[in-house]
Amino acid sequence: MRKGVLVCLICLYCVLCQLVARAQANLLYQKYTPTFTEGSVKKYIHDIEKRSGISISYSTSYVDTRKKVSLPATETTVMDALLQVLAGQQVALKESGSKILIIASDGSTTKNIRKDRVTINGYVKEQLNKEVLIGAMVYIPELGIGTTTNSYGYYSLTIPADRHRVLCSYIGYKPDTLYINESSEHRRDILLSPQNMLSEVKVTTDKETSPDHLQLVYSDIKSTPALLGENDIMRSLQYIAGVQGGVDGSSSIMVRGGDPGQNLNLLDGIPLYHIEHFFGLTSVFNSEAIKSVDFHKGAFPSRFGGRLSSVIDVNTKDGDMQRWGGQFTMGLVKSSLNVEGPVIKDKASIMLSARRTWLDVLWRPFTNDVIFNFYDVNGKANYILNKNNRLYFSFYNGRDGLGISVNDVGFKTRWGNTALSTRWNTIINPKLFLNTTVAYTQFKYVLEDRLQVFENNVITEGDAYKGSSSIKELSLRLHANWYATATQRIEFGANISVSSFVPTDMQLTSTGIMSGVRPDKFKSNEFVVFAEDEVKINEKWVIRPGLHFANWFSNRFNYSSIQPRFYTSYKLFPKHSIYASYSQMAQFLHLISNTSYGLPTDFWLPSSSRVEPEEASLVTLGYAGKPSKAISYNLEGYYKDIQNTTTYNVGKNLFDNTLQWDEKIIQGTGWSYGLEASVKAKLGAFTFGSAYTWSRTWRKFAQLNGGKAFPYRFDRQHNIKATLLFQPSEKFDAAASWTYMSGEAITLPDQIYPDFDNNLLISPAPGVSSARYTYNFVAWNNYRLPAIHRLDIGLNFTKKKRKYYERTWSIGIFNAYGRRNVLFVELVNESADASDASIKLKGMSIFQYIPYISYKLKF
Amino acid sequence: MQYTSKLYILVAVLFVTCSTACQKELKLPAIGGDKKIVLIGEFVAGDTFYLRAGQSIPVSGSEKNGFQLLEDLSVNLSSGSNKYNLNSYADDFSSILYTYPFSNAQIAVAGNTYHVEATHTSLGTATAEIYIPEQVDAKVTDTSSGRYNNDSVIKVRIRINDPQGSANYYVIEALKQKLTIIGNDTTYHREYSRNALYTADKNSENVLDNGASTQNKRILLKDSRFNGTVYETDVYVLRTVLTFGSETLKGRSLIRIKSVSEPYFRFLKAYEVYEPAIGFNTFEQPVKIEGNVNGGLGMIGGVSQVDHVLSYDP
Repeated sequence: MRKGVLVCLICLYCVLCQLVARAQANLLYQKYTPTFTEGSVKKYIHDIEKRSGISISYSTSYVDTRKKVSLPATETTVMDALLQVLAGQQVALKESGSKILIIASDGSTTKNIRKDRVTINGYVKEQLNKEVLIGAMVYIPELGIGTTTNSYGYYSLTIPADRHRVLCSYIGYKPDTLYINESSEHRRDILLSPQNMLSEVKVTTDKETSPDHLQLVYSDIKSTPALLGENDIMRSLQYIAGVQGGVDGSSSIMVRGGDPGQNLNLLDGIPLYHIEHFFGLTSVFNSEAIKSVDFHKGAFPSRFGGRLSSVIDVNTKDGDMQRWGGQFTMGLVKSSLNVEGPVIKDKASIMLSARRTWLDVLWRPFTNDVIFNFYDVNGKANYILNKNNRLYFSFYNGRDGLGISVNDVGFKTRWGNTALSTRWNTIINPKLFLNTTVAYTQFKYVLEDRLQVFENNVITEGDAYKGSSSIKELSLRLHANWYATATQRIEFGANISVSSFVPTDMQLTSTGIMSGVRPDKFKSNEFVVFAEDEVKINEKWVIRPGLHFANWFSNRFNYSSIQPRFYTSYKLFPKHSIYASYSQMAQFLHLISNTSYGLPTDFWLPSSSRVEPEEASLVTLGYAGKPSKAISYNLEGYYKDIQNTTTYNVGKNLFDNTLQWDEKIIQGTGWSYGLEASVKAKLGAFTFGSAYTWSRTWRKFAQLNGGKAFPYRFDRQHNIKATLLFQPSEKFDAAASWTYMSGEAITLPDQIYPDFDNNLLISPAPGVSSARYTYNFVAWNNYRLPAIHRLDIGLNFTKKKRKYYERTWSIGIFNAYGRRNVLFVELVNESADASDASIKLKGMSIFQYIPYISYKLKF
Repeated sequence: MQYTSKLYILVAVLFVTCSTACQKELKLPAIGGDKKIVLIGEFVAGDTFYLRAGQSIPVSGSEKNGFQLLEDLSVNLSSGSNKYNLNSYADDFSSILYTYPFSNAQIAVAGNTYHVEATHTSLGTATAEIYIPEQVDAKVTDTSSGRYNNDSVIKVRIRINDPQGSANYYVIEALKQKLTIIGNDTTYHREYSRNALYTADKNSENVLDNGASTQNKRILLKDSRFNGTVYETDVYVLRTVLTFGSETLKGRSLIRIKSVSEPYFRFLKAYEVYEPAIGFNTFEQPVKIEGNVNGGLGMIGGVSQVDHVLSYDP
């Protein structure tokens, strides 16, 4: 089935390529037979357009369209016909993409200069700090062609050699215009200066590019009211249609029926594994170190792979090339410091950002028995070797710690990511951009448990257990952008990595190695190649076929995955387009979790000879419209099919050390479908955004629910998000956001009956009471918790002090109307007289009326 | 080592200590329907018929949490054309377990299938089919002291002569049976304490489900992996000293080797991973346990068994 789809897609692609190639190469040489022998220039041009299907652009300011001409009704070429029709006029013919341009010429006769083309290229940067801008638009309005900058701010555009007006725009920045001509320098780095805050538009779907992904910038993140004032990328993503949060207050996200482990979290291109601090209060992505976030929930570009549901591609700031500056923030839970500046002005810069919780510092003078903290450090340095080469060095290290110790008895656990990378950007030629990345990433979780056995107040036994789980990966990645023509951009590359896994390792440290199952340590290799071709077939129609091939191999297994990707969009009207995509994804690593709290007990496990890679197929169909400058909307439907999705088998957890890790995991299938709608409107100082998702998500495991399908725990049928932003001046802004999510599905027993062993008169041990029940479960996830909804409000007061200093006080309240959103439930008996007490289902609820205040100083 | 539980507890403590934390009572839908008859027991070849019966509590906001004894239940037993009534009476456990014992002096016969029908005026009728396997041919061949998983254990070697052709299901338990010694008279009671077992037998369901380092209630073996052979397996019994707390009440340690019916084996396999003491909360993965009582709940297992009295110096 999949091979068939792949063959069809390849065939379709070949046909389209032929069409495009023909259209592009032979516009002027296409056959044309006039249907009349005499008429006006305009009539002949229309006839050529009608018969050849070629669009011809011209201006009546230099083309006399009323002039009468005659042409024999015999077969000729479009070029010869036009040359004859336009004979005597000072014009020239050019091909531009799928168009023929009739342009004013400085000569005296009509000529065809179609072969002269130039490639303009360069970087788009911010004027003040020379930070490159990702996704900036470079556009030539007269030709109707343009491109966007890649992940390193690079653009390349091949256009007919002539004098052109080039427009460059980027969200939140003043558009810039430059002029080029045949003799001018074609390497043009473009500098954009920021607009003032009031004219800033938040989400860049408003730009006239394909709606295949979203881009968030720092201002999107900081304008979202947040729990305890912790502005966070992941929390901002929760306001996007098709994305839902986990339990209330958590920063984890689930995309289109997937789980948090099916999101590819990239920090400067390096995958991070456990991305939550403080049980999901905030993510490991420090928003103050971030330049932009590209979020893909469908139409996955072929360069991405390894996860099923979404890609969160986070790019950190490069560092100011002009001056030293930074930002200090003090919140209720943590404080952070961000410093950046030039090492060599306009040539090399660095950025350092660090965060740490300070709550534990408060109780440190009194006790060291309770550990509850996190920190992370982001660092980045870049050096411009010359105009065609640039180096980046990135570093990330983050840790969470948790533990309780009383009289040397207790436990301590810590976990976190470390990532290092070196990237080399090189412009091989104006049309070919290559990035080479060498990266190392590591995730490690360590649990230390100390216990003592007392008899008659004397320690008779003392043991210490140490458990760990880790992943280490070293990778080399090549990624090239080839800007073949103005209408065709090809991306291709390869990736090879070596990973080392210790899924679980438990040791008894006081008396030697613990008996039981030996830790399973092994290495795995990954080889990936990908290619993608974005083709503008005409002004209205874009296609982007791609292929991602991945091979995971070791001495134990060898899995391969061919993943076709296809995206197309068609402009029905100006600023209204319909689009569709098909993506196959595969996932070699699996996050095994019972919750979405971001607990350290969520484990990343690789595929093995027993656990096969997860696979998903996703189909989307959407409509994007922008009826006016102030309003934009989007409608999208999807269907996703998941194979080999994983979960724990009944009654299993990973660190009980009784089975090899992959024997505790079961695999099944899943599917999800839904409709998403979002709208954004700006009226004066108000900006309103809303997203609604209707979706259903199912899971099916042979070992659970009698093999029947059941709703996924986070099968939330209705998701509504609304935000209102009020920005009357640069000194003050206020934001309110409202969230509604249908309740999650949980498994409740239908009956409770006396315990089996008790009634065989077998007690588990002497003296154990009989207060034991058997819960009878008939169906999985048969009960719906109440819907989650809440209103969050935030206010920012900003004051500029001197040229570079700016301070902001932020205050707000999370869950302003105190909705008791349930985190987990239990069946309880609150009465001393059990026989008289009713069965009660109690839900634990926190996060009501949580106020926050934070102080930020920018310097 | 319940590490995950510890973390959950810590998380729960943090949540609880949060000043705004609160409990919210949720409306319970009547997903459980009506109360059901509960039948629990084992029919053992060569022993009299004995089971316990009570009623369930539907999970519903209108129901009381406490169990109640089920009065006026009638339980009948039939096998072929033979029909018997099981007599109900109250014992010392009725008020604790909320079940009444039902028994009959007839002897259960290996190879027979029995039909149990329990009828109640308001709860309706519940039925169960119980097949009693042919007499198990197994014995303890050797015992020795040792250590397993850092625990002091008695290694017990068991030999099973598995009949060819038919599918057989074996269960091994270590129990301490309560007995009373008054003078020269010893009375054995139908009351036990469980002693945990280890196994490293890769053919056991326990190793397949839980690995070789887990303490088990029962060791479960299917003969599909050794059909028609003389099969030997080792179990490791914890040298735990069990007491019944009285000078006159003593106990004897038993290794009980059972051949059980297939539905009973499936029930025990699920029950092995179920921990009845934990209660219900959404942090725990639910375990579905299917019994053989139609129209009701519970399990009546069909069993043929042999006992080996284990003698050791505690």
